[in-house]
Amino acid sequence: MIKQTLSTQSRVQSDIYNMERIKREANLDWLARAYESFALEDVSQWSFVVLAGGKDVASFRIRVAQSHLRGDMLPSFWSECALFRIQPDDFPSGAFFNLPLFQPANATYAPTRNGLIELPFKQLPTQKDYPNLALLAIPVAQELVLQSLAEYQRARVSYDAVENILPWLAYVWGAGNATNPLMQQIGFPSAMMLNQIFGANGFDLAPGVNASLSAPETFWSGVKHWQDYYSKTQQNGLLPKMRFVLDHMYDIDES
Amino acid sequence: MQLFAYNPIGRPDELLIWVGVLGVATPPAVAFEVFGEAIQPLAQAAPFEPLGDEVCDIYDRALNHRALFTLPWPATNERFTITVIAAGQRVALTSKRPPQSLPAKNASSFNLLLSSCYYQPNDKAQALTDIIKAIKPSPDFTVLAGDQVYLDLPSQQNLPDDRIRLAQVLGKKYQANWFSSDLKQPGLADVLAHGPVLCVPDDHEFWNNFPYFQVQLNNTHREKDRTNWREVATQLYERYQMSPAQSKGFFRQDIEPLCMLFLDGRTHRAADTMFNSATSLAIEQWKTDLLQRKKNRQPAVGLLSSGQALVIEKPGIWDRNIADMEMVNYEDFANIKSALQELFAAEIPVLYITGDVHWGRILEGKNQRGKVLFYEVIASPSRLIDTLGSDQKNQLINKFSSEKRTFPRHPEVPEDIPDLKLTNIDLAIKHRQVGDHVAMLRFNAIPGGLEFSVDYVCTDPVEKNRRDFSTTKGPYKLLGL
Repeated sequence: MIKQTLSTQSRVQSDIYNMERIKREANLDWLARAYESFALEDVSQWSFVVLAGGKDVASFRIRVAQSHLRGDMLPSFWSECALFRIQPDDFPSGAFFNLPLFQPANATYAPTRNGLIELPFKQLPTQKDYPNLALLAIPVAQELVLQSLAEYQRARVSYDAVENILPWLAYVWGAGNATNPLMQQIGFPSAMMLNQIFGANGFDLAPGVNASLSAPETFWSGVKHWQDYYSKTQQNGLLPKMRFVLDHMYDIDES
Repeated sequence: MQLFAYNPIGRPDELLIWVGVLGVATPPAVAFEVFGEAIQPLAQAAPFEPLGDEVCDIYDRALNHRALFTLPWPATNERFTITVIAAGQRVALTSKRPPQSLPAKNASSFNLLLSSCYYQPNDKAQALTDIIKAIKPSPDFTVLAGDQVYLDLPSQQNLPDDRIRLAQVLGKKYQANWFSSDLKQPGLADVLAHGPVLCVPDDHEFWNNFPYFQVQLNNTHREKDRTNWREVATQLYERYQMSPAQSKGFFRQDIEPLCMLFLDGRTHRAADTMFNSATSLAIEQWKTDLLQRKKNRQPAVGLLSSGQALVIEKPGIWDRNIADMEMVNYEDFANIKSALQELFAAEIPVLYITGDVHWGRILEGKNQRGKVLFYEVIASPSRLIDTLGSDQKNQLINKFSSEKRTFPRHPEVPEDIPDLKLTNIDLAIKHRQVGDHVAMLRFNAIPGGLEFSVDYVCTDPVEKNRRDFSTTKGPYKLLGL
């Protein structure tokens, strides 16, 4: 187990719920519907994070690695996370920003962009690749977050994001004696990026764990279990919201 | 409403209670109970005042406040609990009256907890307060020796130019550390609630190497931004940390044979000086009192403290816009140095305690006749900050190094001792401490002076490291008769 601070909040009202797919709803359609369901009064006050859970071998290993962050030791639902830039009046023109372990071959040299990749909205993998999906609405102005993201991309001299990718890739591929990076305080690359840019704007995406352990699982538990904390620290009175759909879990039988 | 209370050190023999309330425009009436009985405050030093974080309601009324109350000491020399009641909420804190003199060697020791450099965002794997609460013996007097908050971190934070927004952002960091119990987060609340507590400020109560501009901190580049930040940070420091007993720039308390002087070398820091005139006079008075005690054939031992190390390499002047200047860089370091020289010449020993440097050390100084006249005890950090880039580099070096370091992110204790030319005092390192830690100094009076031991308590989240790196050093004797 990885040590962390457990939330002891009593039950608080939160705008978080499981939003099932309608029939075999595509990921893009589900995201659009999840976004609409937030019914945000002033979109400019918000920014958005997507959690995604795959079911291939790489995703399996990433999900199991994060089981050490869960009290039940079960695999996480999540294997990736990204910032979701939304254009409210033109939803399909949105884009995702993350640090994929498998850097695309057609992208520019990774170190010059600190590993950061922009994925157009329409290129989001399908529900066959990512059956699990969550959309987090975070009460930090998107404009500020995008500004921090731009700085992050240029900041390899002070923070080398690429460096976190290599141990995770080694672990996912089982290279040599590579062990779970989280056990060495090496956070998941995309999650480290997200935690840094939101931290730079005064919002803690994972109140229960040290920043060096950032992972999609910590954002999931952060928004789910730390609403009481946010209600006491958010000066604008806005609390994070979440919609999620979980269409893939591992068949683990403890009976 | 959120309620928190603690016992900052008061004027000598004053029981002072700080009461903070968050989220109410009109602070409620406050009541106190000791031993289950209602107790009336002797005075309320000031009515509730805004905490300085500019959090207001839609009518522009401040929502977060604090007040200071003076209570009568209950008739006990033991630790006791004070319950603070406001708007139906109750919080408990404890205190213990500082003794007039150190206990004799055959009695329980007087225990001073020395802690510094606390970075809350890295305290989530194992709350520092849980480790401190388990320390035996428990502290009688807690010194938080600087960097109780890191207003300038994370270094990539976007601080607003607007003064009100800046106050809100910086105020949130204080809220996280002081009101942590209510937030169910790690923080300093439980450490503070074990009084009396003295907070000594250092640079991160403002920003790295305050008051100089820092290349890496955009909000320090322009005079206007520095002024905004200075004013906001000063008010937050005064409202959260500073006891009225420290308002002149120092705090003095004597527990015979110890004459203790805690210096604020930060809030009044200018280009070439650290202290205001009252602080400089206090150093002079402290020295004079020690000399007088010796003249009166009373044991005399000085304890001096500030937010920075005494025996440390002098940084070059060109470092001042990227790193922290040390006391030795400032003109009025001469005040400390000359006071120490006079005391050492009279064979009056001094113990200096501090934090700041992110390593721990015990240094011993002897005069040419072999008499021990000086110790410096450093305890830092209690929870290490992140240093972007450098942390990654150190971890990488450690990974490929044949000799693995247990704490690759922490700096090593310097091998060499800089020569401060302290009246022919020969200095020797008695102990080096790495990793997160605090120190408990246990004092007893002995004929002619005092004896003390130092328990270095490793506060690392890993239990094995806590076992391996916690150690007791001493006893050390300081004789001043």
